[in-house]
Amino acid sequence: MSSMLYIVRNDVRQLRQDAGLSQATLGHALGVSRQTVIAIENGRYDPSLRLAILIARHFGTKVEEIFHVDDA
Amino acid sequence: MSTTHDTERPRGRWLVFGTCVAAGLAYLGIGVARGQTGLAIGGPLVMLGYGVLPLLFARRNEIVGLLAGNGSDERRAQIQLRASAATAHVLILALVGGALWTLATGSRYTGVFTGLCAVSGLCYLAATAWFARRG
Repeated sequence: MSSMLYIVRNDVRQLRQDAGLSQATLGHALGVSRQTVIAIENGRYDPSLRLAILIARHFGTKVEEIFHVDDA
Repeated sequence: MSTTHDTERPRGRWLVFGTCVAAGLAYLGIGVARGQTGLAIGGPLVMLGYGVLPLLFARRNEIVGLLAGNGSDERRAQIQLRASAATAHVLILALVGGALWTLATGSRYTGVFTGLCAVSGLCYLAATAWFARRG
């Protein structure tokens, strides 16, 4: 990656809503707070690799199918 | 999916409350011993207020929860790290400013400020070396 500036988008909100889960329920399943789920969905917080993998596993998909890096 | 994370830790709130009560009692004791009524009354009241806040609102308000030491997930832990770093920056600025000021004015507190600056610098050096080695 040539640029240091990048934005990570994610589809967590869409996946969660499709699964019919509340933010609190997803947070509980992942071992994080509801506010952390909200921050991830709003793009205010980029989860660690470990948490990103947990999220992907939870929705039965791959990390790169949930998180997308846009070079700025 | 279940994990071993515990997102709410009431123990942290009680620890903060206990620490505040101990500090309040210390203020009370010092105030009584020195005959300073303001310290003897105001100190415990302020500490009790700070201690009760997390007990009442830590579950409802994330900021209060964080003040109660609730760093129970990676984002909260990161918030606390960043808040600690910001606080340290401000403290170091105040110490260096104080050291320069006391040196310039020949104050008798020069030793205190320069000593604290030295401790801060050594701590930063040691912590940087430690965390660099740990990766």
